[in-house]
Amino acid sequence: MVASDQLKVILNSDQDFLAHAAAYDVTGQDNFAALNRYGDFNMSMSWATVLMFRRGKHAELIFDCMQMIKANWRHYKNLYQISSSTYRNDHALSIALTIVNGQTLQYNSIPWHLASVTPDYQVTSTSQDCYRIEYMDHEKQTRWITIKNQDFHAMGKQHLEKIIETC
Amino acid sequence: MKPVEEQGYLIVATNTADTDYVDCSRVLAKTIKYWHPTAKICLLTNNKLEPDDLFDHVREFPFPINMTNPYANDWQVFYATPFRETIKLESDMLITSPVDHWWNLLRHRDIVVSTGCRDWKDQPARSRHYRQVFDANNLPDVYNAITYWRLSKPAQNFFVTVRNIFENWPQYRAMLKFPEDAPSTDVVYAIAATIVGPETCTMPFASYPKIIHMKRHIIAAKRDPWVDEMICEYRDYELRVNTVMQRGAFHYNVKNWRHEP
Repeated sequence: MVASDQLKVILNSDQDFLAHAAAYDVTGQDNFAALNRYGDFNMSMSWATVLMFRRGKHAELIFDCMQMIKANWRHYKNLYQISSSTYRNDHALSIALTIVNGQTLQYNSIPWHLASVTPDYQVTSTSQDCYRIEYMDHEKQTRWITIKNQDFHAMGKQHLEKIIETC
Repeated sequence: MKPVEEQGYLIVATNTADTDYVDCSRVLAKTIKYWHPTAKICLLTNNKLEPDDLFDHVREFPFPINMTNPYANDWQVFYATPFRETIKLESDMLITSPVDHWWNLLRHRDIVVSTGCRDWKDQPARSRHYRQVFDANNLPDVYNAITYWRLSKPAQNFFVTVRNIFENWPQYRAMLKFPEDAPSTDVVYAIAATIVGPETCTMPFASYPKIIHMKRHIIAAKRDPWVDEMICEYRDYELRVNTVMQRGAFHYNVKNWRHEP
């Protein structure tokens, strides 16, 4: 959900390609440390959820590389010892960024972390750019928070569909 | 000993029953010469070896050596080096990128022992598994694998202190929490740095030089040796571990792992 104009910051930057280097749970319930890594060697994840790119050689190289990784997924899955057999574009992006940046882990990313709402939580729209997130805390008590003017990643797509239907 | 060259790299190699450190030194020297063909390299060893063009100088330890603990002879490096300015390197390392910028930084002190180390992802090592003695005794987190000094009184004082610690280890040992039976060079350097003042011989704020330390708990490997589970690609003197390019001094630790590029 885009509920603010914060993305203008990266559009106005002089970078050609940016993605989030880390995500977090907006409710603070879940630790995303494992989700921000991939494979047995704990490589840093780049999230393909929000990508800023300018049409050009650099972005083309990254997308071509992602395509190559997808076409040879079994090889890259084994190379990075990724246990899940399902292809994820987050993994492909992370690997592609490593390759395109000279096999280093040094590249620029969006300078804030990706606010995320996991599929277990209920997301409802309360007003323009304002959302209510209902969740269960560690004592199994139902809690809720509202977030306003905050872009976030709704990981449970069925909630998004309901929000779209009510719009 | 009077210097005969302005600056160079000193590699210390004393062969043991299970490790040919002289051979490690040859591989290390090749990597230095690849990136810096005009660099001067001195091998310090008591082992007899055939003439070798890789080394510009081969020196023997100038004073009688301690046979029981080979590390205890380390203080002699100050007297053995043919260079006015020396960077001492441990032999079981590879240089995997240019390192001549080190000199500019290190010249800010008369002596610098490198502080901290990195993993293969170029992240500062967080594991303190191998550093319990340092933490328990509040010693600086030094790694003698990269040590710089120039011919000077402060450097001499440092190595005199190192010698004193090695030769009086039972007394120093009695003052430490969780001490080692036989002193390691890193612990002795750390004690020496504390005595002469860490601010005079370390640069903990500097991001380099720091070794890439391929020890199991630092790199979070599942088993020893790390080479059994990680993929290494070594070509044209550039090394990649699990596809990630390695830069600087790569301390491979597995003594029989020495790839020729």
